[in-house]
Amino acid sequence: MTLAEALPTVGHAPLTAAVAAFGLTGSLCELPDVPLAPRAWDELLGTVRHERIPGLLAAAVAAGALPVEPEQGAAAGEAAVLSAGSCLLVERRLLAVHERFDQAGIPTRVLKGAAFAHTLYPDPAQRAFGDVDLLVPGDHYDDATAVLTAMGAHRRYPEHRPGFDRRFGKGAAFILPDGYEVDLHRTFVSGPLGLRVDTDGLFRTATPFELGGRTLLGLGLEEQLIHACYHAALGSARPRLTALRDIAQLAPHPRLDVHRVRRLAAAWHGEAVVALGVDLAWRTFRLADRTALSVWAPHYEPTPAERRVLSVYVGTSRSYAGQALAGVAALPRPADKLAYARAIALPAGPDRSHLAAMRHHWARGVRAITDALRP
Amino acid sequence: MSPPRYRRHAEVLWRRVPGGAVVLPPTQDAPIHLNGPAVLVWELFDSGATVGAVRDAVAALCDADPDEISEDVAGMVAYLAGAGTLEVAR
Repeated sequence: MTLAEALPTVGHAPLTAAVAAFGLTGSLCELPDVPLAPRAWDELLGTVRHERIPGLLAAAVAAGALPVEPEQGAAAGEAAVLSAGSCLLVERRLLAVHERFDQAGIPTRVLKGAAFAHTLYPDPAQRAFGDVDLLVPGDHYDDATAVLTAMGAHRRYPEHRPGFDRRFGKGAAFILPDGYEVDLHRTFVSGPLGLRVDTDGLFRTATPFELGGRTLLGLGLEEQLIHACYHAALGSARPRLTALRDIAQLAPHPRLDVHRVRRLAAAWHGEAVVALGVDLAWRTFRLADRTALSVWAPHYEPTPAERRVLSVYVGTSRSYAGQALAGVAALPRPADKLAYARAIALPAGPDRSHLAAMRHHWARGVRAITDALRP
Repeated sequence: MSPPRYRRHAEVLWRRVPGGAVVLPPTQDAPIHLNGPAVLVWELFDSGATVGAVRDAVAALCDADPDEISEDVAGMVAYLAGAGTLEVAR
């Protein structure tokens, strides 16, 4: 059974996918050759804003690839200006947080948005984003939290128990006093797949880029691709087009070491995720160009164990509680299993509202643990 | 004494957009949308230039008389520098 058969996902409308594919070599997606009717245009513009691809829409219009009425062209331009301005404001927060982390001696890797915009795309305006995403090592996680708190930020959700994020968590979202969000990551995803990532290894390689007169570091190229696949395949019920486009930018990259991608993914038990991410990108954007990864991905057959793990991330049984509970099986040391299970079952702190949700999913989660432990 | 050379402020964040650019200087709270001749002037300060050199380049690109556009270019440079998008090149 291939990935597409095992893990059906919700697709995107062909027109929106075609906009998101603009400029991609080898894409068979087709844009209309006449201007859209007003209602269809309004729908497209709304989806484009939601998917954060106004830069690609404006580029398609400017290149004449998508014919538009004059007022539609103006609207596309306005959406691109607003999107660009919004990204610049996020980048300013990124620089402010990065500077404070730097002063505190906290190593960082910029994830997704800003890093991808400035290293993967021909024009950074083609990759929009809405928040700051920073990865820090687990043993610096509490320091990073303290820095953000000193900057006036507050957590969106409380930590399960003190020390949980540093040892086991995916990360946490912090809201700065001016409302901007900083996602402070320790690993790529919650649950078993996140726990198996070699998080210390993520800081052994880097992709530098310049921003506002400073040099920032993104992940190494292979780690970027794997993270993009985790984000696209597991991050939301319907993969975001920006995340799929990131994969399409990365997979054919001339400096990408495909063997290293496969090796890292296998070590992190994430081969099925990488295959799923690449396959989703190739199918969504109808990419005819073949790369080593695009040839491998659609034929990858997930093992029963991989399918069980993926089922808590993808499809109808997707749930945070299921991911959290399935994480027990990914921890090798009994002491860690106990600490982890205690933290997710008996969270500390004044806000225990998520405990009710956890209990609601308890039965499903117990089944997930049982499945994950099954050989 | 030679005229000052200006260049884009190193800390300016910016994006190209169709027909213009959106810039966020370090001294401003909100991005500025540059279009028309202003974005041309902004682009020409990529690696540092005098106002006169930019005026001549704009004149050549727009097939205009340098003397006729001199005041406009100087005004744009004053605006861009005042907004914090340009700095004096050392």
